Amino acid sequence: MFSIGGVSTRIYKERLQAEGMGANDLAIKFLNQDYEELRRECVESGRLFEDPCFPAVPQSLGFKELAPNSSKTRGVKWIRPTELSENPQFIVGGATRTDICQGALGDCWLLAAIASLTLNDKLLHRVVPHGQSFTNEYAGIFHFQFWQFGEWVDIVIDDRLPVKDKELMFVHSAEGNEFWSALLEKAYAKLNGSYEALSGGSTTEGFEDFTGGVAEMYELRSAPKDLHRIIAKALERGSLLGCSIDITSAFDMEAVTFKKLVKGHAYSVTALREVNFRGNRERLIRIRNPWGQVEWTGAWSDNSSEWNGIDPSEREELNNHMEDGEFWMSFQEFKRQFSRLEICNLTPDALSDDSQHFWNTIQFNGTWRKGSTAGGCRNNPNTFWINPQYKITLLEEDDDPEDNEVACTFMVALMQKDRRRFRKQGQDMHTIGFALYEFLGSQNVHLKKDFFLRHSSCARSETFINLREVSTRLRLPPGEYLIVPSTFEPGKEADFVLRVFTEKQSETQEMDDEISFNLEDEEAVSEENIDASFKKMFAQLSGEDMEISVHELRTILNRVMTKHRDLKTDGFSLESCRCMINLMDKDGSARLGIVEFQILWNKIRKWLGVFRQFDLDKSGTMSSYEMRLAVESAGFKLNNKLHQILVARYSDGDVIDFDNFVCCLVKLEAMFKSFKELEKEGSGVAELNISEVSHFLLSK
Amino acid sequence: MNYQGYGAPPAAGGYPGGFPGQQQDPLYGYFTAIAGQDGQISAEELQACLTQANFSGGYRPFNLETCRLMISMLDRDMSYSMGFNEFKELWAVLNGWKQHFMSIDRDMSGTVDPQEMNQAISSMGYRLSPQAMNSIIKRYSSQGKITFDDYVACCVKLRSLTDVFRKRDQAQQGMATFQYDDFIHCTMSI
Repeated sequence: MFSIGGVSTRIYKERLQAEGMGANDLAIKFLNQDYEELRRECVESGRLFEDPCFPAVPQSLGFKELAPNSSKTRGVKWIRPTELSENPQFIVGGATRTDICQGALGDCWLLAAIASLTLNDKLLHRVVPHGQSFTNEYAGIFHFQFWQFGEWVDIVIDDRLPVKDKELMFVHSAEGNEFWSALLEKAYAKLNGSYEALSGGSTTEGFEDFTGGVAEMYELRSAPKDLHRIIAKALERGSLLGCSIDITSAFDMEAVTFKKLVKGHAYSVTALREVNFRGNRERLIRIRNPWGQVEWTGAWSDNSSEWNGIDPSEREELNNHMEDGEFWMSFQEFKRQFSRLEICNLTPDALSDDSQHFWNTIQFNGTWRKGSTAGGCRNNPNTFWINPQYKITLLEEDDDPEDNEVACTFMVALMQKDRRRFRKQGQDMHTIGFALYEFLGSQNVHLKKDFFLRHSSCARSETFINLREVSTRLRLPPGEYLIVPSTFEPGKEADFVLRVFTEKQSETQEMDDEISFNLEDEEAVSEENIDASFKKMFAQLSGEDMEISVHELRTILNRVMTKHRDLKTDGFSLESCRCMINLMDKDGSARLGIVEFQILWNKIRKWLGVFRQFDLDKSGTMSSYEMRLAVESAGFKLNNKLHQILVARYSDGDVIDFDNFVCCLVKLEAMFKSFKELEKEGSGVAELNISEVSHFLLSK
Repeated sequence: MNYQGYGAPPAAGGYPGGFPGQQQDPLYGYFTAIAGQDGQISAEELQACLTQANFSGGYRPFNLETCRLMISMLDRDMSYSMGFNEFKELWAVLNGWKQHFMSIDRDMSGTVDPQEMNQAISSMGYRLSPQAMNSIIKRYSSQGKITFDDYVACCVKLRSLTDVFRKRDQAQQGMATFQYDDFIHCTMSI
C-alpha cells in the first residue's frame, strides 16, 4: 500500500511502526507524497499541482455506475474552485454542519460523519490541517489526514473537482463557495481508490476514520433502558453519533416518509436538551440531514406549534427555521421513527486531551490467509483453531456502586482492512466476528484443535456480519480469556485490526508459537556405517562418478513415488531436486556423494511417515492447515507468519503434495542450521555482508 | 573483499505509483482472461498468463517455481497472488531482463554460459564475491548452461536480495543484521 516491494518490505514497515510512525502526531505520507515539499515545488515553479496518483480522469470517478462512458459520468469535467467561483473559500467562518450537502454519490454515511466532525474543532482540524486556503500562496494542492486501521495517514490531493453542468457533482456547501468538504471527500475517494468506492456504508466507518475511535451500534427498537444517558455521556465526551431508518426493500432506499424523514439515509445526532413543556420535562434530540434539506415536519420541527409551549428565550435559542437539514424531535418520537443509532467513542488516537476519560486501548494487526490462518467460524471444527489467537487478562473489576456483580467492562472491536479498494474487483466486506474462551493454560502457545473441541465459548460478537467492523461491549469476571477473530466461512482472505478497550488496566498478547528447531542429534553418518545394500543401490544409480546429479535424483525419487500409490503427486520436479541438492551439498560440487545422499534419504523416509500421519483422509495430499502440525511433528515450530509464508510458497490451492512438503522441510532445516552457524555467540542476531546474503538467498 | 555498494536492479517501467489507464492497456486482456472475478492471479494462473501472452517468445515458458518467485518479489500483503498493477510492474521488469538476456544470447540458442552469466550480473551493478557468484551459477545452470527461465529466477532473487539487504543495512556499512525469526521469514519467502 505504501511502497513497492514484497514480504521483506512488510517486515521493514512493521519495524518503522514500532518506532512510532503513524502515531497521532506523525502521520504516514500516503504514497510517499509530502504535502509541504510538493507545495513548495509548485509555488516556486508557478505551476498548480496536478496529482499523478489520483489523476483527473474518468477512472478516478468509478468502475460501475460511475464507470468511464456511463450515463452518470458523461460530460463530467474536472475544474478547480478558482475557476468555479469568483471568491472561493476553504472554510468560511469556521467549519459548520451546513458545509456538507450531498451530491450525486451514495455516500451520505460519510457526509453524516463529516457533519458530526464539525461539532468538535479539535477533531475537525485533526482531519483538516490548518493553514490551507485559496489565497495565501495558493498552489492547487491540499491535504487531509485520516485514521487507517491504527495509523494516521496524510493524503495529498490537487483541487480539480468533478463538475457536471457547471455544478459540483458530489458534496458541496450550502454557501456555494466553500470547498473544504468537497476536497475532503476527494481525499477520501483517493484513499479508497475512486469516488464510487465510497458508495454505501455505515456512518460508523466514517466516524472511525476521522477519529481513530471505536463505534457501537444500537437497535432503537430494542434499545437499552439507559439509552438517553448513553447518548448524553457520548455527546459530553465529544463522541460522534449517527442514526438511520432501516429499509425493507431496495425500493425504500432514500424514500421519504409522510413527515419528511428519509429511509436508508444517514443522519447525524448533534444535541440533546430537556425543556419545560407545559409543566412537564420534555427530552429533545437534534438531528441533522446531510442533504441540507428535507427536514422532519412532525412535532418539534421548525414550524411546529409545540415551540409555543416553551419559554420564549429557550425557544429563541433552540429553534432555527432555516431549511438547513437540522431539526429537533422528542426523544420518544426519535426512538419510534429511527431504527439504528451509531456512536463513535473516542480513544487516545483521537485526542491527546487528558481531561477526557478514554478507554485503555490495545491493538493487534492480523491476517486471514487461505490454508494457513483463515479458519472460518466455530462451525468449522477442523480449521477454526488456525485463526489467529489473542489472550486478554482482565485485572480489575469496575467501580460501579450500583452493581453487585464483580465484573470488568470491556469492548472488543474487529475491523477488516482495505475492503473498499477491492470493490472495483467485485469484492466487498467479508462476514466477520469473534469468540471468547476462558483460558486456563499456562503457556502462550497457539492452541490447537483439541482445545476448541473440548471448550465452548464464554462470549462472542453479537453477530457475524458483513460490516467493516464488528464491536461488542462485554462484562466478564477478572481472569484470562482467549479471543479468536474469524470470517464466517473458512478461506476468506483479509487483513484485520483487533482492538480491545478496557475501562481498567488489562494485559493482552498474541498467542503464537516461538519459532524453534529441535535439532535431534543427527546420526553421524560416515561411509563406514552405510550398509552394503545401500552402497550397491547407490553405485547402480549414480554411475561411474559415484555422485548423484539433479537428473538422477529426480529419477530415483519419482521411481520411489510410483511405488507408493497412495501418494498423489505430480512427481518431484527438476527444480525441487535442484533445490534439495543445493541444500544438502556441502562441498559445492552441485552433486550428492554417498554420505549426503544417505542423509537425505533418511530424512525423506522420516518425512514420509510424518506426511502419511497427517494425511488424515488418506487423500494422498495434506491439507495446508495440517501442515503446521506436520512440520511441528518433524521438529520445527512455526509462528503464524512463517506458517503463512510456507503455505503460500509450497501449497497448490489448499493442499500440499509430498514433493513440495519435502522441499519445504529440506530448506527449512538448512536455513535453521545456517542461522546457527552465522549467529554471534547465541545472541539471536546474525550479521552478513551482501555476498553472504546472496549466498543464502540465491543458492537455495 | 572490497565492498563497493549495492547492485541496482534493471529499471522498472510503468507509473510511479500512478493510476493505470486500465481499460486501454493491451495487457489487461491477458490478465482478465485468467484473473476472473477476484482480479488476482495465483502462481499457476501467472504461468498460464505469461505463456498465453507468449512472453518467452522463442524461449521455454516459465516453470511454476519461477512464477512463485515472481509473485513473492512483488507481493505486499502475503496473499501470494498478484493484482493487475503488480502484473504490469512485473511485465516491465521481465521485459528488461529479457532484452538483457537476448543481448547476451547472441546465437539465440536459448542459453548462456557461466562466463556470460557472470558478466550479466556484474553489468546489472551487482558486486558479489567470487564464491557467491560461483554458488549462484552452480545453482542456476544445467549441464553448464543457463536457460532464460533460470536467468529470470536468478534476477528475481537478486532483486529481492537487494531489497532485503538495504533495509537491514541501517548504517550503510555493508553489513545487514538479522534477528532469528527475521532471517527465517526472509529466506523461506524467497
